[in-house]
Amino acid sequence: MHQEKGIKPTESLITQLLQLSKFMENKKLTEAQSLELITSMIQDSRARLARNVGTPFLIWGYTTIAVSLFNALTLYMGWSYNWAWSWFLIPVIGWLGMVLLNRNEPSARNYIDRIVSMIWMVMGLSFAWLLVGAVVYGGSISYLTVVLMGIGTVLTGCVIKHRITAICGWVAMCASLIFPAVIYIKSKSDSIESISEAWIWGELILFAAIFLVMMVVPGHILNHKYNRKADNVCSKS
Amino acid sequence: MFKELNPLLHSELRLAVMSILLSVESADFVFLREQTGATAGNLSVQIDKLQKAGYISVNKSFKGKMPCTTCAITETGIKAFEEYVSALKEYIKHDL
Repeated sequence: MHQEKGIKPTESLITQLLQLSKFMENKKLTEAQSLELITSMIQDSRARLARNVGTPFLIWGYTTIAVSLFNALTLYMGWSYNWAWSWFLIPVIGWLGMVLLNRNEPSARNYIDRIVSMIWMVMGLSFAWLLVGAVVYGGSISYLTVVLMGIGTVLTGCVIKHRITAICGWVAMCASLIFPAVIYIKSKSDSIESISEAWIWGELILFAAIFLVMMVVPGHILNHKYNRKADNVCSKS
Repeated sequence: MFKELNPLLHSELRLAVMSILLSVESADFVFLREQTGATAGNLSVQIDKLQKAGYISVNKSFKGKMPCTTCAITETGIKAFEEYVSALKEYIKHDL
């Protein structure tokens, strides 16, 4: 699309305008008013776009945690394995949440929105392939799921220049090593039955805890930071 | 000699619309209306003028059952905006 070509010149132009507006702060000229209008519109739009930036993290994070804990409960209580189909509630609830979030909301997209959307689209598709493999070959996909979503979180943090989000992603990826570590310990020592029994549902508790750190924590921090900033900009204008 | 300020851009609402579109890739009509605080009728007229000048592109589609008008700045629009800003700079230099 044509807008893509205009991204670089636009960025430099915005920087120039912001510098000029600082210079013009004390001038009461028609040109100054034009400049003031331009900069305030740019700043307002940026602040508005950043509002609720963490909400998708919260939707997917809380949904995954709830479904994981529910499945841990079914395993702990020894209920039927058919309850495992409830994992498919995650994409359903997540997708519905995203639709509700975007419904009736006036929309505008910038370059960063597009990049972040692409990152998560790739992550979602990769996860779908992973899921197909898991259904065909069986076995746990907790480790690979956390690694995949961790990569998505780190990339998102880097793109939106939010260090805490990126760190949370890295922490989750490091924590994901616990999954293969426990499997290794189990394979080396079958005598540790208490680990094997607890791991059946404990794996899901750990999975939920990692999602709490990876998505819920940065989601709340992002919303707190950018919603407050957007409120300040709106109240000033 | 001062460069003349582009009359198409030297209007409050049109300049506001162009400024918003400069900072995003695309924006729908409702977003523009809420950001500028303009009435739907006035905004519609100004968008039409900017589109006719080739400064913005307008895409009409549906969001669910609701019609959705999406606007985006064009290369011509960016160039016109750059010229407008450089003309503003000339005025500022003169006042130094």
